[in-house]
Amino acid sequence: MRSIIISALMLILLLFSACLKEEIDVTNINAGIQPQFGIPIANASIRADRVIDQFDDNGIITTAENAALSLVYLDTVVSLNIDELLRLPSQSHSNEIDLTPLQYATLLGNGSVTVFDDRVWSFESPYGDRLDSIRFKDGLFTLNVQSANSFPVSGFVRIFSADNTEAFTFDFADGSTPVAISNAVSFENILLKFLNNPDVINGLRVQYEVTFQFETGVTGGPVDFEIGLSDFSIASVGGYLSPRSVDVEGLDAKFAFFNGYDGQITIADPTFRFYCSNGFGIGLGVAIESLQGRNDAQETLIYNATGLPNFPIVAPAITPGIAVETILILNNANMQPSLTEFLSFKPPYVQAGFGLTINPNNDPNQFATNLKGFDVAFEAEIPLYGSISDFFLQDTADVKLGDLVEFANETAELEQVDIVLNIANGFPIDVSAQIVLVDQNFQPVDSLFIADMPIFVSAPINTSVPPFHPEYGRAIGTTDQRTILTLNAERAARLESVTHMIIRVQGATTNNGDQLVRFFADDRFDVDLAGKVILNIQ
Amino acid sequence: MRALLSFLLVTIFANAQAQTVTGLGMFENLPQGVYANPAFQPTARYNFGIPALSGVAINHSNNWLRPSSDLLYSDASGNLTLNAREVLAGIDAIAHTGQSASFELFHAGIKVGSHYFRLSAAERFSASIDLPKDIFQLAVYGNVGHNEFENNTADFSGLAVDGLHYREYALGYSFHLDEKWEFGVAAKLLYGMERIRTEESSLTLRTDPDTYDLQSAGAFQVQTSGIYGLTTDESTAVQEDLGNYLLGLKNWGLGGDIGAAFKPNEKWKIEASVLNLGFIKWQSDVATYGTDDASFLYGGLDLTDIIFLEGSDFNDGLQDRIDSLVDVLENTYGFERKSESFNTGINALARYAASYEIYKNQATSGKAWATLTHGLGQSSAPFSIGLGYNQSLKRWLEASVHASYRKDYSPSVGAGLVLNAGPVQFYAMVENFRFAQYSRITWREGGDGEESAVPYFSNASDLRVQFGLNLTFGREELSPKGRPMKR
Repeated sequence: MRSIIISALMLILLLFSACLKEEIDVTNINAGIQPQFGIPIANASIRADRVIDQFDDNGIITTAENAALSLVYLDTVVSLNIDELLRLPSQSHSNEIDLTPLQYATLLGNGSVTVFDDRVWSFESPYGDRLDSIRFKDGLFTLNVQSANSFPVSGFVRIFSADNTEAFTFDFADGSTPVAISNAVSFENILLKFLNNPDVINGLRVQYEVTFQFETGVTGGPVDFEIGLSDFSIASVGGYLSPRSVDVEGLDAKFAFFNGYDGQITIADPTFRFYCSNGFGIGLGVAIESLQGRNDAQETLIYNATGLPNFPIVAPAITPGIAVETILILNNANMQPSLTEFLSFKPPYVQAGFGLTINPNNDPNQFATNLKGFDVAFEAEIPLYGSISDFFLQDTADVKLGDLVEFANETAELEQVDIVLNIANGFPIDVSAQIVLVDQNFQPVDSLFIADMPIFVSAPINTSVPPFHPEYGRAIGTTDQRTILTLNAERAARLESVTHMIIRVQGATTNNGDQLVRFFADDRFDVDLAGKVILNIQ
Repeated sequence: MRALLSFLLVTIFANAQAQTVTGLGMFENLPQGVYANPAFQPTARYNFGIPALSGVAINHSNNWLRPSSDLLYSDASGNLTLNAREVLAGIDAIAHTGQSASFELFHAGIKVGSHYFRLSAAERFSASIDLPKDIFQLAVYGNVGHNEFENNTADFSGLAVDGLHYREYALGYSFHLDEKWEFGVAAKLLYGMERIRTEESSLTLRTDPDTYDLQSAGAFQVQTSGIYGLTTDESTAVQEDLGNYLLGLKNWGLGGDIGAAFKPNEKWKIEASVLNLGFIKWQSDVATYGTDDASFLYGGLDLTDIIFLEGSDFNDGLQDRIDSLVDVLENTYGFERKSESFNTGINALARYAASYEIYKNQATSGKAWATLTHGLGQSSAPFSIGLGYNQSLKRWLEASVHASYRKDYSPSVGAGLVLNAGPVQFYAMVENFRFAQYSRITWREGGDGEESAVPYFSNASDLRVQFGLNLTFGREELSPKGRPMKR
């Protein structure tokens, strides 16, 4: 009986356990979950040298061996050839030849007579030069023979150098009266050696041989000779060139670096270099008579000669055709006020007046050739070592957010989108930005951030070495900055009336520009752009 | 939301590995006891199963989702919100859902003296899907949500799909050596029809908390047979040619069971058996997908080299990078089909049992018993234990109750019944009484819209039902002391 009861109980337990335990009525299912999905969108690693490659079309940024960056502006200030240096005027020599009574008697008796004459032609230099020689590359010799009453003449004029070598010969003849001969002969590569002594300076010997032919009815009279040397260019010159000033053009440089820059800037260690290439065997004195900067506001800052250094004499060339380089430097050490202060004026336009003196040491012997002249190149090296503060840029752009608003309105599951910007900044600069979205009346509708947000913060810099050390102020790590831009449906709805956006960017070097920093080619920042989507699944 | 519900229901009803009810083998009259131990001999001399009805076993398991109003909360407007956290709380490490079914096509057994011969055939299906908890965490919280994954890494290892459909032809023999020792063995010819097997699963996905860079790692390999043709137009599904599908595939294997029992005295019996040893070599319509190395880091498109380009140059550069990314993804997760044959087991397990006869008289008897099973090798058969009591009433009724515990599931209570009405034998067994308790989820769109309802077990943790009809002849009568005597 007991077993029957047990079996019965087991059956009952089985049968009665079958039941509907629970009714679950659902009328409006809301999953009630808000998953958040983050995905990386893009990344980039930007090095300073890549930025330079991209934007420095004119190659004004240079990289030193230690990767330090500098702005380098190059310009040609002076380019002087031998003719511009010597500025010798055209030369002329006049002579009058007439028959003596004996020569006249001979003419009448023989029907002709030949007259000889020898003169010295002093080459004129308005500066008092005493030249040993000049080799002309080319030029024009002219000979004018004039006489109103002379018998017909013929003959030649010879020009001799000081060593009695014949330099040039003019033949002339006029078989009728009055005599009027005009002759011009171009020449190339003629060497003239000059006779110099206490009585003669830059002398040449000129020999005349004139034959008079008797002609009936002619009474006779003097014959005027005029020899000219003009339109010449000089190949070389040797001798004593007296000290004198030569007018040259000045510097007129444009520093685009400062264009439109409105903040404070300090360039810690700038240098202006004047690369003098002297192909003349003449010492040259170079002086900057004034230095003038003009900024965007058309204000000028003028340094006169008293604040500028006296440069050493530009050394002469030793060998013709081989120039000697001399570098003249303007920097903080030899200027008062300093060059840093000059550049703090942020002058996009820099002008300098130059003075050039030939042979300032009054050396007795010099040479000059047309193989090499005198050139001055200007180089402004502005190391990216300094500080910037109050850097500010603002721009306005059209914007249409209709598609975005429509998308946000139509995508109910999309609760919020966060755009995440992670920057590891290896530059010694802080940058903050703001984008203000405005309507057609330029009334603010929304802004990207609540306040101007730092987008990236200066990297730590090396201050463990003295300021003059090349590594001082170098970024020695990175600073990570995370910026999140949030967009949700409510915010998107506000953007319907947006027509423009105002972009503001502010920046400064480390410590708001109070710290000197250096920029290097391997400075970099890494950007990671990611997105987080928050869904609201109903 | 409906899509989510559909997904849940599909996974719930999609899977499981075959597993007999805990008490099988403890019913002396039930010929199907040979599936628990091939040394078993039923009391009847001649045993025949009704074709296709002699052994029907249906299992369903789901260790994570229990439909209940606890999963929903109502707001002031009466809207019901799915409580995702409650769902997550119900998941341990792996959300396992499984479904299996087994149908005996034929069963015949005959006892000759102390020998028992058995011939049987059965069709067996099983399918399961294991979803790591982190998949749900990912769906509910996202990869950068409030949930913080350990090491910011969502761990998908354990993600697995497993399915098996095969036919088993078995020839069994058992021999009772003496009053104490019993031995049995079964040889099986296995005919495979479909297979999905997750060979390797160790995928992880790390999300950088700052940059959201995504980094995957690990490996994932799935082997299939009889599936590829169903999913592509490039190949004919093996199921389309029914004759070939039922008998002509090349997926053959061998298997076997072996078991023994020892009775140290009249009351105690100790059993040990190894079941489902064997393999199937899958050769028809095979396809393997996956990757040995899913290592991949995506940190966004690298614009370093093109960031200063403009216009079409930038667009071209961007497209190049997208193309490269797609190429890398295809190489990493290409999952190109490989069609090499492969071998799989059939979920071998070991079973140990002990029973103690509490009392016995001419009409009734009662015994207590305990079982322990565990998988062998790469088998997915879980560890389980059971404690039960069987009550016999003469030869016409055997009933049992038992409690069992299976790894990763909550404990359950089950029962079994074998009724003999003359030669006709009906039996039914159930694991987990709560199978009969169900919840009905009714969806009324907007409160008065179209209505649809889905019933589901209130606690589907481990539901197993087995029943069938046999014809048995020549049962031994009990002696006045309750000992069998030949009739």
